[in-house]
Amino acid sequence: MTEASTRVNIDDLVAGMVLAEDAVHLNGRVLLSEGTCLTDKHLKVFRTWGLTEAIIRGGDGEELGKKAMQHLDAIVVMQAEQFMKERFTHMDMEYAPVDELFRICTREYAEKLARGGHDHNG
Amino acid sequence: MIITAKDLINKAGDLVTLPNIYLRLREVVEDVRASNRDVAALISEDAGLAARILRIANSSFYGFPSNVDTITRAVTVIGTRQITDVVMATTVLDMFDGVPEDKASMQDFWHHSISCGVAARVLATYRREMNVERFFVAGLLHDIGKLVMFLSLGERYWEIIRFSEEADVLLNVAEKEQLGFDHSDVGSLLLKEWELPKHTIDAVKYHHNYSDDGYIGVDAAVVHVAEVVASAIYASEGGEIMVPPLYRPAWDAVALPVSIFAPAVKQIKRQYDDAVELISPGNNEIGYACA
Repeated sequence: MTEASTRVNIDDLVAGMVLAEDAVHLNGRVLLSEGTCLTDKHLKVFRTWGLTEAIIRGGDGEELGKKAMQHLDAIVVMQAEQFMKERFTHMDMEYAPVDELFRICTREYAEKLARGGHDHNG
Repeated sequence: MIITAKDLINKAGDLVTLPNIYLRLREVVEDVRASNRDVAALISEDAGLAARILRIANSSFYGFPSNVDTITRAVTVIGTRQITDVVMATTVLDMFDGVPEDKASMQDFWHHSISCGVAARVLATYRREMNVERFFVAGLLHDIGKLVMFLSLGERYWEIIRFSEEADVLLNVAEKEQLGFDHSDVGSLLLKEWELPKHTIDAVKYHHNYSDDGYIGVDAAVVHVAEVVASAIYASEGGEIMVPPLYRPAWDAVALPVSIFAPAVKQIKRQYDDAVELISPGNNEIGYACA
């Protein structure tokens, strides 16, 4: 009976997604209840309130992550991952916050590479 | 001869002394009989400081909706408690400015301190802390011990830094091996001499030494996470840096969802640029991209 659900970052939320759980603000207030189909107006409200994530019905987190980088060249993404892995050597990659930080930094660096930016060593 | 943390602070001397105006401001703010007007009068005595407070109050860093055109108004909108922290921040930044930038690492120190301060401020905002400037100050100061060591140990400290880079050992570990103490010991001792609040001293002392007695306050936890995030952002810009390990009790104490990283990273980058603009308008040399 329980349908698959995914935790999605505010930046990856799009209109049409359906909430699998209430969208709750850090202070405990329920902004939107379960089952609501998100509209652009809702997303704007989320941002205004500083909401950072929502649980949506269906979906697959990994797929969303790939989607976020699909506009980038696979080689660039690989290069970025390699570069970031070296910098995260002392980190426990199995730890959820580390994994999330790694994902964000890799995306940022891949986008920098794609723009033709150079690293510090030139 | 054995060197102690205290020796290093004495040797660094005037460069790490708090200015008189800050000490007097603290007295006035702590005096229950003093009004906003008394605080404003004191700030107005120092024209440079007064101009800077006005610039800060009107900056995008604060984002107050209306124009703040008098010091009294600035004190009211920023708040007397927070204004001592703002003055503390400008004081520390002046100290950084007075240090010769003959080594690339000094530039890195600058960059890292400001981005850690901004990151701590952003995390504190997500935690809905009443006084976010206190976290900004703690982040700015977290590595102040390094500044003392640069100033008083000279070449010997550069050797320790080079060793830690070449051997891929965390700097605080290398310092402890070579000297018997690390920059968080030196930094927290300095802040104790400055008579800063305990939460700030602890934040500096425990930003990576927390496991000593298992203690971790919110300030130290926020500064620790801020340092990790600031380092990760620097790496994402192509910087040569090893991101320090994230200490689990610190992340637990910060008590924020993992999903805040994505928006927080954006805010940190934006506020960093605002902060640099405030400190030295027109100076593009220390932008995040660090060309």
